[in-house]
Amino acid sequence: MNETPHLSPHEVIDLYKAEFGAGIHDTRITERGEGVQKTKGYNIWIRLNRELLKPAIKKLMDIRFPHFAVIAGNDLGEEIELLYIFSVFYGTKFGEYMVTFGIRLPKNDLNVPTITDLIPGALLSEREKQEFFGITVTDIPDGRRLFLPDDFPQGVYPWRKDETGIKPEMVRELWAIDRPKDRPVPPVPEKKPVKDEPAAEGKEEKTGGAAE
Amino acid sequence: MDLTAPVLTGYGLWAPVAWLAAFVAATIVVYLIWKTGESSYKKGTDLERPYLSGNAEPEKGAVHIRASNLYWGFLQALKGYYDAIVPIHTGVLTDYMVWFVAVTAVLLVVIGVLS
Amino acid sequence: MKLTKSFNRSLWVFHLNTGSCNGCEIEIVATITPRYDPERFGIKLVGSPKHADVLLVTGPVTKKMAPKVRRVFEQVPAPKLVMCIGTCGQSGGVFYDSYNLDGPIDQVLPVDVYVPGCPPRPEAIIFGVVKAWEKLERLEAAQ
Repeated sequence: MNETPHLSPHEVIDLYKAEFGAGIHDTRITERGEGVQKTKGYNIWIRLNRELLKPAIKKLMDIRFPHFAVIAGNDLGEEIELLYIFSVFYGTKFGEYMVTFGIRLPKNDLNVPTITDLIPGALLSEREKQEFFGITVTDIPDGRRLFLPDDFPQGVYPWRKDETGIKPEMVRELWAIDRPKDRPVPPVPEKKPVKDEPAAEGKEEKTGGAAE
Repeated sequence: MDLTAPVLTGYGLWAPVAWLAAFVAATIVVYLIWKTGESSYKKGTDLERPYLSGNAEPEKGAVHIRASNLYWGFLQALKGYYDAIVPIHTGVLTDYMVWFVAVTAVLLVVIGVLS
Repeated sequence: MKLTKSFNRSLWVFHLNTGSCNGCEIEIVATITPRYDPERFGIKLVGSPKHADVLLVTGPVTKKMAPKVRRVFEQVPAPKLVMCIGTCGQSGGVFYDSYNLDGPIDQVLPVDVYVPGCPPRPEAIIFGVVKAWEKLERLEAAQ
């Protein structure tokens, strides 16, 4: 089976910059050490224009078919940011990393093309973003509500932070239901702050047995 | 006539009284097993309906599969033929009469030519 | 069905998730593992509520799940017990103020035993089962 060669994160970013150039606003590679040996794990973040989303995903499918994780969303006040999170090179030892495409939708034009023709499994995540953020995913095959009940009011988008979000009167306080009101306040004494123990003298750096 | 004797027919031996005794014994066994069941459940509640992960049982019409689904494969394979033939069956009696008369005429002409 | 002494010896459990984060589910599965071995007490997990004696309910009840929870509860044949695992079902837990929840579980079902914790340890769940046994013995003595 012909598999595409394994690329390092920097090579992937160079490929994207070479092809899309102007449309890419920002790229970032975060590195972290995993496990005891601190093997390197990477995350790639690429911030794009909205029109470049599908060409970018097609390019990722040419590099190696990715694993679609989720579409994460955030309300940034004037815009809504959608992060399409993929992971590539699954199966290579220590070679898998996450690629995230971020696009920003201005609130007066909340349309985003669907990616279900490339990745059919993204349907659930797109339906979720549609009902929780109020964005419109054009050409979505099935745009019904997913998690919210059917009698949830139409113009309310729970994950937004502006006036279309959840109003305080819609919030139901579960902790107050059936809470007994005649309980005496328990006389618990205030906890004294614990002072840090001064480092014991003669306590040397713990090294492994191999250092002996 | 001896009622308990078997009767020899053209197809074999018949012993009706023995059959009756066997049915009665089987009924007694079945009744004993049924009696050990649970009788104290509320009828008409959800205890009688199937467990469908908490969803309501759809009405029978919605999930009923007709017996004609048995020959689905046959219908799919001959789809072209059925697409041509089914519209011709309009349900109007006079159309069927016309078809009858026309086919009879053609048949008579063909037989007349052949013979 | 009347409660008999042997009822306590084999409690078949059906687990129902009403929208939980699955933490309590993982702890229930951990309780079923051989480390705590509830099967020596006759407790086993069944796949249908019609076979169950105890209903283990986890999670706060979301609005879409409430009618289904009621239906499953009615499908469990009497005598039955309901155990509420985790604080989500008792006072909302992390979701103590939410727009999509139908309340703590005892607004929807009659609960017998509450096992608090987020998630409760398997030892706590076993202690809850012990409390359920004691309740059953009290009910049987009262019959």
